[in-house]
Amino acid sequence: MQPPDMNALPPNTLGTAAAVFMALAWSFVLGLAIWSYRKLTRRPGKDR
Amino acid sequence: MAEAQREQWGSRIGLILAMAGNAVGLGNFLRFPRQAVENGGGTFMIPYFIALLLVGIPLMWIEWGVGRYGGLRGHGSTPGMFDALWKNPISKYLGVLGLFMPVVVLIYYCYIESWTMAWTFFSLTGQTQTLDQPGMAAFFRSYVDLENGTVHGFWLPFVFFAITIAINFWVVSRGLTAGIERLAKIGMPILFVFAAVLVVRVLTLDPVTVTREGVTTTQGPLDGLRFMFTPDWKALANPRVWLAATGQIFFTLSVGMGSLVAYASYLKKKDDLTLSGIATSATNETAEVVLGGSLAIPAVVTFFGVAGAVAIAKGGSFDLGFIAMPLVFNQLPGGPIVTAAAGVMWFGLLFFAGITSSVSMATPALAFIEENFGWTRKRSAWTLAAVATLLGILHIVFNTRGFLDEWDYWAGTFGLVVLALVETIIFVWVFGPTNAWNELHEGAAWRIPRFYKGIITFVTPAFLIVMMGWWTVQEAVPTLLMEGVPAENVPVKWASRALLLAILGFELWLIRAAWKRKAAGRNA
Repeated sequence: MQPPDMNALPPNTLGTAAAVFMALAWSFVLGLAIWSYRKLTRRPGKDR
Repeated sequence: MAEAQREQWGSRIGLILAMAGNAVGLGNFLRFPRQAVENGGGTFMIPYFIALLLVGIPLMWIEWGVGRYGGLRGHGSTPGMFDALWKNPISKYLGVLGLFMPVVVLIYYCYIESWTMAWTFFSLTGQTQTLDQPGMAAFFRSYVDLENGTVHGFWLPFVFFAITIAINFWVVSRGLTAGIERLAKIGMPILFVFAAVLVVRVLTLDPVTVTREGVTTTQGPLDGLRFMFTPDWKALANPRVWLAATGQIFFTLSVGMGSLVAYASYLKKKDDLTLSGIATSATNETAEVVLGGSLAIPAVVTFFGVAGAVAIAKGGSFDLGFIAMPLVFNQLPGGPIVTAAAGVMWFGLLFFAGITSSVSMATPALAFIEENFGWTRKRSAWTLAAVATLLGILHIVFNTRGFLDEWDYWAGTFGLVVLALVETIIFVWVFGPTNAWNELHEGAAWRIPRFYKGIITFVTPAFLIVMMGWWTVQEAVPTLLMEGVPAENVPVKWASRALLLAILGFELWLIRAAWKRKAAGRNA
């Protein structure tokens, strides 16, 4: 893969495209984790 | 053996942490970031999540389903599970894959795991704090290549390997709840806390100015995230990227290994599979995408620049973890104590990621021996420990001769797809799509959307067949023919293969002996 042009933005900047992809990826996995754990912990009387 | 005689998980959270611990391994922190930057950055996430939904999570459900079905009939490993699902004389022999692969991977995985323990020790004692880049590289190579062992004593890798084996088998010898489940309940929170602390530290680093090959650049951790997540849309048209993403999902979820089914065999009839399978996958994905993606690449880009990070990543995942990261820690503000603490946390989290996976790999073989030959857990555990130690020594001695690579390719890469395909065909096609669907929903806390029945029946096997075909043409044939292997390594590679075949043959013989024993018992 060609690395993105790192000089296109000031140092230590995430950039819009990367921010969008990162936010989507994080939201997906964290959302899945929170949803599944919430549903599991709300299930009555099944834990040992 | 009846259900009541088998051990069962002590708690639902213990079960999920153990399953997630099985899945979360070294690859989450070392392999994933490298795969992402090499395969399209942000766009890698598209095939990656599609593969998760179409292959990863369905396979997770299938493995939990196969495991529980077999476990309720007294089988903790795939020979018995496949025999229960498919009454055909060949089915138990197909199940040898679920014994062979975890044992083979366990042996070399424990060796790599022992590196993380060694580097935790080196970090604690400050042995890497004064090294520059060539020095750090020599420090690492000296440890993993005994022929060039100029820095460490010859004996050191053997000592850390023996300690790692002893800890692993001490845990499994204690049984399911007192050993494996307790390890998961302790190890997984530590892993997440260490990773979260390091992520916060890395992402709050100030930008650093670096001069490399006459070019001066200034960059910070957000540039590392930009490097990792900026989409390269052209990559989506490349089939190699899709296969890399599917392969990463395979490795990261530990599907097709035989260890998830073994853990699932200790479930009760009315335990939930559907939601627990998703929770396990989501825990692993959080460790990989959120934590693994925010550690190595942002840290290395900050201190080495993008060009430096690319050069290091080309050297492999271990260069990233064992050479670049200690160099990063040496440059952290705060002095030797901060450097040591960061090193202990990084290698400590890798150690816990490793051990929660390796104990799962020992489980199928131990269950098979206990259930079919009446051995106690302790006796079978320490016998397997002795075998693993002896065979592991060969890996230490011949590591750089390609001995480990052969085992890693045939058992730890190609074999995963083969077993996943076999178990999918047996569970979904032979056992029947409706039976499989009903089995998954026995005791379910959540109903899987109906369209997933079609995905599990057709799409997941199709993905696996394409992947196996691609890997056969692209990698298996050249690997088999030893293309590009230096002539001096060829004898070692053949010896490595002969040993693999010997292990496979021995396990096939064990299966035959076990079934003969059962038949004799029935007749008596």
